[in-house]
Amino acid sequence: MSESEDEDFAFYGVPLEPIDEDNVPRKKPFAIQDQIATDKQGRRRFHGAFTGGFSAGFYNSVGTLEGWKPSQFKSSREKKADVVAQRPEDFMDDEDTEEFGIAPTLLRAKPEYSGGKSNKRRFELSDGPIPGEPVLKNILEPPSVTIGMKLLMKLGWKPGQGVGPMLTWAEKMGGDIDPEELGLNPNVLFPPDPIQEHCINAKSDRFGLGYFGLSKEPVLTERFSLFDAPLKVSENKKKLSIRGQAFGVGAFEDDDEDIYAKDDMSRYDFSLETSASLKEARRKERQKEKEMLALTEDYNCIEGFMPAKSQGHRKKYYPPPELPPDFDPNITQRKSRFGPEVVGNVQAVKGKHIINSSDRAIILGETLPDHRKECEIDLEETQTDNKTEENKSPDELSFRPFISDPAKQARYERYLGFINIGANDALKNIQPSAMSEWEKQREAKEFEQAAKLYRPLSGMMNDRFSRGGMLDDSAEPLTPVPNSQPVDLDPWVKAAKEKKFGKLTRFIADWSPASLLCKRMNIPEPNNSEVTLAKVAEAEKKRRPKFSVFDFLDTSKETNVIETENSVIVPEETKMESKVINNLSEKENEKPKLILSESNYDNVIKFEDPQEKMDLFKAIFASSDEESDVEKEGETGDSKNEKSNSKALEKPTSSINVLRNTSPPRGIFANLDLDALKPKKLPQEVGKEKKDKNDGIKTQNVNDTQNPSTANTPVAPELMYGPTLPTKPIFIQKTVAYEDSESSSSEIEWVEKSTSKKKKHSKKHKKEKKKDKHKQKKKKKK
Amino acid sequence: MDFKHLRTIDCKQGAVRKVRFNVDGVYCISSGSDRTVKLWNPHKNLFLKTYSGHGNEVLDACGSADSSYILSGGADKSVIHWEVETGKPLRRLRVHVSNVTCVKYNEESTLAFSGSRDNTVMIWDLKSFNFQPIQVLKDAKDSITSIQITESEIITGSLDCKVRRYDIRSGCLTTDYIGEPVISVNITQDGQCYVVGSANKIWLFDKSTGELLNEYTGHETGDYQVECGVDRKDRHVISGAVDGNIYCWDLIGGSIVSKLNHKKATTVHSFDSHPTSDFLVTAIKENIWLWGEEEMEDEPEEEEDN
Repeated sequence: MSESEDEDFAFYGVPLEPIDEDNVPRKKPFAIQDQIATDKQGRRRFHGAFTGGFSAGFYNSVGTLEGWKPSQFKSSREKKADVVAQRPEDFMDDEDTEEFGIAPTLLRAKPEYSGGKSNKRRFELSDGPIPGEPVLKNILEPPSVTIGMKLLMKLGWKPGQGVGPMLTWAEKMGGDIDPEELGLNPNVLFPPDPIQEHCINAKSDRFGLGYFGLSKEPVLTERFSLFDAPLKVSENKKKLSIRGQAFGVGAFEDDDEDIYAKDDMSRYDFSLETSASLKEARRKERQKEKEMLALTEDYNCIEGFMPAKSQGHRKKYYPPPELPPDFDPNITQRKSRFGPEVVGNVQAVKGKHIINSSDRAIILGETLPDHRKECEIDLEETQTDNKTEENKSPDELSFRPFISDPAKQARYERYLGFINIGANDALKNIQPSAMSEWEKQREAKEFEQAAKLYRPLSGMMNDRFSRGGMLDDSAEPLTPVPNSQPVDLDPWVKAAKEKKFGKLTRFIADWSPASLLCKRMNIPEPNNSEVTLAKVAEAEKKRRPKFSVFDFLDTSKETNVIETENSVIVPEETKMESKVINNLSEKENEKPKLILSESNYDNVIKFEDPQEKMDLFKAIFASSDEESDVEKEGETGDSKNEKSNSKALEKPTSSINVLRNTSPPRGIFANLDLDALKPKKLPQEVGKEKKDKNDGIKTQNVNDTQNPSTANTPVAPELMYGPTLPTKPIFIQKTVAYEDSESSSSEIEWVEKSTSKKKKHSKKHKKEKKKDKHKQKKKKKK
Repeated sequence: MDFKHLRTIDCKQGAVRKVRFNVDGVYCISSGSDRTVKLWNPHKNLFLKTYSGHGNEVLDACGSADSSYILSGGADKSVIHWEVETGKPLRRLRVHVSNVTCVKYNEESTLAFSGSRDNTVMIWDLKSFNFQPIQVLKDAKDSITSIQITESEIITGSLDCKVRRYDIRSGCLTTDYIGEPVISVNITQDGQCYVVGSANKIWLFDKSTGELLNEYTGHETGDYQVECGVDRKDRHVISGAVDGNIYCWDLIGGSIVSKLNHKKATTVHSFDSHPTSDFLVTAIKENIWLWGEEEMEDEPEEEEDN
């Protein structure tokens, strides 16, 4: 049954959600004391009566929970209380003196001086490309005071007054009230009332005439002042005082923006005619009567006529404005700060154009008649002379490239003439027979070059422009100008005009299709040599923009080259060294073989070097040569016995010198002044050191033999793990005495890792040999 | 050329800028000034699909070799590669700096070629995800007006009075100076001759030597870019004209054989001849007209379906 009942009902709408028992909404609205209007800091906004708010003070009432609390007053014998002058601010909240408060303490310039901007705005900087205040905005600022207002103010006018001569009370008020009655001095003058502007606006809406719809302006733009005296409207001697708004708006009603609006009784009309308007109307009437009387009294009326009651319509006459006596019709132009500087007046500018070449000549103090004559002569010449003379411009003649040889210069000038005719070969005829055929040819070439190079500007320009068919300054601009015939057409244009299509109109050029294009079109790429070259160039171009940190390492190129060099030379070297070693082991004296190896070495270089690498080789080998020279010098000081041996040793070292890095020291070596250590050495030692230096890694072993303390340190790298220990603190070496420097400098030497590895194999054999060598050497030296 | 007027289709897409048959001539593609490309079956008077996505007038469109893509270029400087079925733009190529005046596929539709008023021809790879042209041909000194692609050549006509032939096989560029701005270039079916349209004149050039073989006059092109070409058997040279006619010349004799009158005195500026049978589709104002010797018979497959 119940189900059927349910079915009978028709449900409309969405059922309400069942009420959650736990979250029953509070039936009671917020109590008044719970409603707190807060300011931006979350503090209570209204308290105290100063803001004049609707909800003010404690619980919207004046006072505090404890009531009004007086300021503390303490005074004791030790400490007398100061007399404190109370200021209104003491009774105000902080916010009262803030932006929205009633007593702002901040000093602000008046709008006349602040340029219409608030202080805050003024220092706002633009985010645009030019920092600071926008320049254009400053320039284009609308003036706050018009020029007319400025002028009026100079005449003594003040804003709010009407314009015109000062009036007495009687004149102003229409003589209704005696000023003396009011206790005013009758001689006091009053400014006239401002004339209400009457401007006719074009009608743009479809409202009825005189109807204005509700204004769209927001409420807050309406004028209001907080401290205006309560509005009083006197009506029939009965004072009507209305203050404030008819309907108050609570602070909790967010939507209403109109909280400061104030009903102004002046907006309300209480009758159709106000007292003022009535007075005005009465005055006008009286004046009219007076005027009419004045008109009619003067003339006696003829019988049958009566004086006119109304004044006929008279056409208004406006006299032309009187010019002030000191009026100057010449307008002095105001100079724009940005405009070009105007020098002199208009006439001067005009004069500039009037001046022609002869006038200028006079100004410049040139001899005029001569000039004129010259011109005439020139004209005659050009008219009478042949082609050769015609094209000779003064520029061309003024340039004399072969002035040092007058005969040659003369020939050159004649040659120019020939060129103009087109007889380029005629030069041969004027060349003296004393000249050899070779000289003649050379001169011809020189002339050709000179003629090409030193063509005057006009000549160069002639190439680019075709001569106009008519003179520019033809007397009648309106005469039709015939189509200028292009002087010479390109051959293909000519051919096309004559419909001789074919070879003349066809141009074939190389073109390289992109490889992907070929691929997609299923066509093998054309392998023209030029095409592939172009491709390579393109590929390179593409590669270049790839950013790499190493591009910025200035030495990277150098090292690269050196490495490649090494790769070429090292095998030779190893060969050589092995040879040398063999030789050494075989005999004591191996001069011939060594020489052979030396020549071998030279061959290698000569064989390898392409022209471009010459400089590099020089850079590498020149220094070593010098050093070896020094070496030799040092050795000459030594015994002659040694010479052969040292030479034998020297050669392979110099070859190893290829590996030496000639680039300036970098990184931790940058601060090391190796050169400073060098010159102090004795010549003998220099030789020795050089050798050591040149030897690079090899010398390490030599040194080891010298210093027993360090001899133990090198361990086979296979037996060690972890990062290699630094051999010695490097910066200390700078202070080491030069006896030590021998070893230190050798250690400072850096060797390319790759090369050292490469050498490893041969070194193992070498080490022992070397040791033997040096030992021998030492013995000999001693 | 005994073509009868078979059908008029109102495209309703503003002025029809170009009309093209698809690869087998069953459908045609019209590019309109209202920024759309439309696909039609002119033989059955069927409207199939609209492709909208261009930002401005579509100036040229063509169908791919398998009829599954459409390439179009327009005054919005973009070339759009459409999928026929879904009507979605697969890629929008925006590198040209001015109107794209002509577009073409290569034979396999793996590449797109677009000529533009910015004096360049750009070649786009449609297989890779590359939105930059793989090559730009910058030889022309004026707007490219038409482009033709053969097996191994790219032929372009330009307003700088030159016809350029880029031979990919030999890697050379052959430029022929015509003497008048080239408004249309076509190639004969045998691939041996250019048909070059200029103002009020059509030229027939030998491709290999560049010599003039014949000249066809008698029509007027006015200031319009009027297309010219040959019929599918190389017997006639065909061109549009400003007087509402399609002019047909005898290719050898050079005399006007017939005119196809559109009954309107407005320009017939675009046409395309059927690749396999005797049909011609022309564009005049907002309409496309189908011409042919007789109506196309329904294909047997379709009959079976029915």
